[in-house]
Amino acid sequence: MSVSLEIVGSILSDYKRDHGLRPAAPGHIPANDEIPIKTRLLHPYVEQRGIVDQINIFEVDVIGHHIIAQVQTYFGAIGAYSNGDIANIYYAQNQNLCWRRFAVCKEMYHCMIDRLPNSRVNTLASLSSLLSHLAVDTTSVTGGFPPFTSEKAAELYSLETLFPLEFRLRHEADYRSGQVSDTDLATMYRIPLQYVQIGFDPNYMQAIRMLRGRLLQLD
Amino acid sequence: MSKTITTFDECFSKAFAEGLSDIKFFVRKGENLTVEELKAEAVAFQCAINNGQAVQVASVD
Repeated sequence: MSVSLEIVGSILSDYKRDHGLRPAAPGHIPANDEIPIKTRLLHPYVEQRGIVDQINIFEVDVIGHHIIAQVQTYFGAIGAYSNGDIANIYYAQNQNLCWRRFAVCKEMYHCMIDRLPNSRVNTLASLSSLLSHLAVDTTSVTGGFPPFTSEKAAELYSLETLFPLEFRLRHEADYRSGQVSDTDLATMYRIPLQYVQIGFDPNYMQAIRMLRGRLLQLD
Repeated sequence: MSKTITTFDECFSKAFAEGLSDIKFFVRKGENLTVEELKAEAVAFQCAINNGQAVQVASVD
């Protein structure tokens, strides 16, 4: 699977058309309805583009130390009481809003990108292999494993959706000069701190600029 | 009486047999994370789901 950011641009374009695309104001802690990109508003766009008929989200009473969310997909359910193809996204209750949002957005992307059978995990062997890769990334030695490639792609798409390049460019000068910190930005955009830092890594930003192509105009 | 599922193989063999077509995880990495730790967490997560400890929500934000 190659990483293409066309899907992110497409989703953001629809979001801008329907809800506007406005960067957060520095120094302002947004209330939930002021978060610049809300996952609940992404939900219909994902279902429109997705490989399932319905996406459900569940909070699970479990302590996630490392696994903080997952998506389980059921294809081809048939019968009079079937809901069709469905995806259930589960997140651990102990995660804060930033991690919940990021994780749910990441799992939503799986509902759009995991179209090929070899990107799916539906055997004990492939599940063990995926968990091995997630514990220790050995792809540089062992070669690519499509489900793991999909995990990394979905993570990247989540970052580029919840804190898109358009917004980062707006804040870049203030960030580089120290007028706004990574903690400030994590709070303003309600994403985990470490993804703000990744988002501003110069090499990462350069790669994303090339992959995104033409950017959207902000409101 | 149903048997309590505690092992990774039992837990996910049952899930795949019941129609699970794909599963992906979001992992928050830590130092020296092992596959055994992840397997144990995956089983705990699945047991919680199977035991009705999952509540559907409209959204997270």
